[in-house]
Amino acid sequence: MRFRSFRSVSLLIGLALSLAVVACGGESSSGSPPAPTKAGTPVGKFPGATVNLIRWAGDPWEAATKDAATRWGQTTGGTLNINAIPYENLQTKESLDLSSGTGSFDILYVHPTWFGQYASAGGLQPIDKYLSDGSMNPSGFSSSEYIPSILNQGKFNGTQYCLQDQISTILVAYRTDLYQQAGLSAPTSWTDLLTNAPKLAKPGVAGLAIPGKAIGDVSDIMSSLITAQGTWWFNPQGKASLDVAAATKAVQFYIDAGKLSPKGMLNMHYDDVTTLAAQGGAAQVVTLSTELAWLNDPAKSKTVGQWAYTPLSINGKAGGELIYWNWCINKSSKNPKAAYSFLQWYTGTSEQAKFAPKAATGAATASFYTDQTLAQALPFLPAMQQALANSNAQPSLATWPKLQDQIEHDVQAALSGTTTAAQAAQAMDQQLKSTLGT
Amino acid sequence: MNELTQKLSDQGPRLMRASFRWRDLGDSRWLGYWMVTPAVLALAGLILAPLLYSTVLSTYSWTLLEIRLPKPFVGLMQYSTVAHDPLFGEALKTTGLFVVGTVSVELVLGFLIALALLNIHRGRRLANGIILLPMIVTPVIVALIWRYLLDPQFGLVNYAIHLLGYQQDIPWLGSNSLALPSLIVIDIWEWTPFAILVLHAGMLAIPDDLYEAARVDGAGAWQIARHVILPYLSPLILVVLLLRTMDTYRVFDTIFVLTRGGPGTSTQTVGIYAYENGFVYLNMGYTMALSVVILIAIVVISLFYLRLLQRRPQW
Repeated sequence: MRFRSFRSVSLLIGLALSLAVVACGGESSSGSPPAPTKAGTPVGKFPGATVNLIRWAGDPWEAATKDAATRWGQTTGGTLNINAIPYENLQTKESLDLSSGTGSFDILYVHPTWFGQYASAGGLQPIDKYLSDGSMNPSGFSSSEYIPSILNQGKFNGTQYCLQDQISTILVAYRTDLYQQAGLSAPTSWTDLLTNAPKLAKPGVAGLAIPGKAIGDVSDIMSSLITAQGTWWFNPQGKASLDVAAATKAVQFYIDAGKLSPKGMLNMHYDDVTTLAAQGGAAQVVTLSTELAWLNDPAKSKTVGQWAYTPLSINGKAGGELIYWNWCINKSSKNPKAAYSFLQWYTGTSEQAKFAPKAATGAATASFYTDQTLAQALPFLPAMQQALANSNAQPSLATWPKLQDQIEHDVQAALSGTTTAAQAAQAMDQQLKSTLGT
Repeated sequence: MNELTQKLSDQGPRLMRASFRWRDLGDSRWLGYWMVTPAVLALAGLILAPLLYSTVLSTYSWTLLEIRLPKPFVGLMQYSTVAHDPLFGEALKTTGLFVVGTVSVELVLGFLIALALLNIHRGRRLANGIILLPMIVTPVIVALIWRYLLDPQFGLVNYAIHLLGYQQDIPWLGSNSLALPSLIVIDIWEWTPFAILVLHAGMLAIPDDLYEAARVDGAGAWQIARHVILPYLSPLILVVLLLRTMDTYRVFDTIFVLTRGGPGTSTQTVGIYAYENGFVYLNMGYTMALSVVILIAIVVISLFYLRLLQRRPQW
């Protein structure tokens, strides 16, 4: 009898110990902290949990993620491995992981144009319940801290899958010294860019530089140009809704800007035109806001401190495409709570502000844009806010990658003189209608 | 004939199987089979099986993200789409231009340089070494080097042209009409050394008696090249043609790095087009069909060359 009691007590103790070990041992536990965590600190304890993250390689962003991963690990007890690979291979690697269901990567960095493909195939983990779970977020946290128009981009069929960072848009940078020398006032519309360019041009300095390479750049710029005119590729129901007259105007601007640009613009990426501008080869440049930090980086620029910024505007109305990246959790992740803990913390203002001055990227949180220190470090932030006040987000329809290619080829055909602006706009409209319907 | 082989030939394969011993491996007819088995298995496992599986998958409509979902069988519909796809037709034409442009120049240039090397006696080894350099550089690195050389504003090529008095920036890779010729030049720069290497080795193998006999008969340099060297090298020329055609037909890396098929579709080869469909649009069923069509085309071209090779006049 005594022996049986002893065995029962041992079993109970063993069970209690096992539960304690499991409770402390990572993902199968609630992962919640004993006390509310303050904002700016990762939430949860995940000892023994390993989280694998995949993203594109490139500093300062890659270094920032690695640094954050180390600090997240120190606070939570988990291990976060960063797999930084070339951008060109990212989609393939993620697609293979999602389709095979192996869950090799818990956290995926997802371009908007891939998001629709991944979400519609059921490859991503919903995060609505995590966002609303008090135990998985810092005290006082609410998902309303994210700018709704940005947060909504991570939704598919009403379910939230991703959080965003790397916010950027298309902006114009212009040389204040050259404007002053030419006696010109600051440009307020894109027609000003075209009329001022010949007055600013001189040997070795193009009046205007705009990228024309069909790897997303052309589509981003076209999106900004049509947004400023109050139209978009499709309506909220996902059906084609392009205003052909506005698209014609946008393509015409592109053609005119292309004529004022340096030779070879059809093979120029954002990097190329920004490098050219930083080296003093262009008086005005249309580029991605992320690239603008180069212009004032003494290591990369001969024109430091000579730049001012403005959005692409027409008839007094600025417009921009909301460009961003999604952080999503793999449906097959073995540690989704730990993955969420990292993402919630990493996409917050405090972490994003750490690398924003170097990276020139914005966060998805509202408080990021009211930070005075950041405003000083990022002189183009007001222009960016102005552009994003009237913006459309980079499309994430599953059919968008092919449509984007077609739109870019239509614009390139007009830029090389094969078609007119009106013909290019008509072609885009037809392709949108045949793919998305009306 | 040793004891084992005598026994085998007397008592047939049945005994051969029964009497097999590892230590006899080196002496028996088994050796040949054993030696080719790994290669056959590797080929079957790594090439034939995936190839057959790809062909099967090309009869289904599916995307990369739907590997685990049921795939609708569409029969030969993907092949019909390939046949009516204007972009594929355009890519095929671009590939044809690229293949003809590169292979013909590489062959002629390779032959002429190999011939010149034949007449160099001092420093031939050094010249050979230098000539081979482009071929041993990784294609992606070659593309990156040329990207900087051909940069319209900062590139060395335009800088040299400016020094010669032409002050316009030439958009080598940013113009519909210049991008493909520029890529052809890059490929020629990289792969002419291969033609030089093979043809020069072939020229060195020609017996001296033939040259002497030709000279005795009063043949000049051109006649020796035309009537002695060229016929002797014809099998090697066909080998160079075969290998370079296959290689250029499936060109991908250099074009991907430099133009990604642009501007427009002016440098979109079948390889780039298949990549776009497979790994950007994730349309795998269609990409499998494209790949099968591309493979069949390569096989047909290769068979044509091989037939020529078999028909060559015998020396």
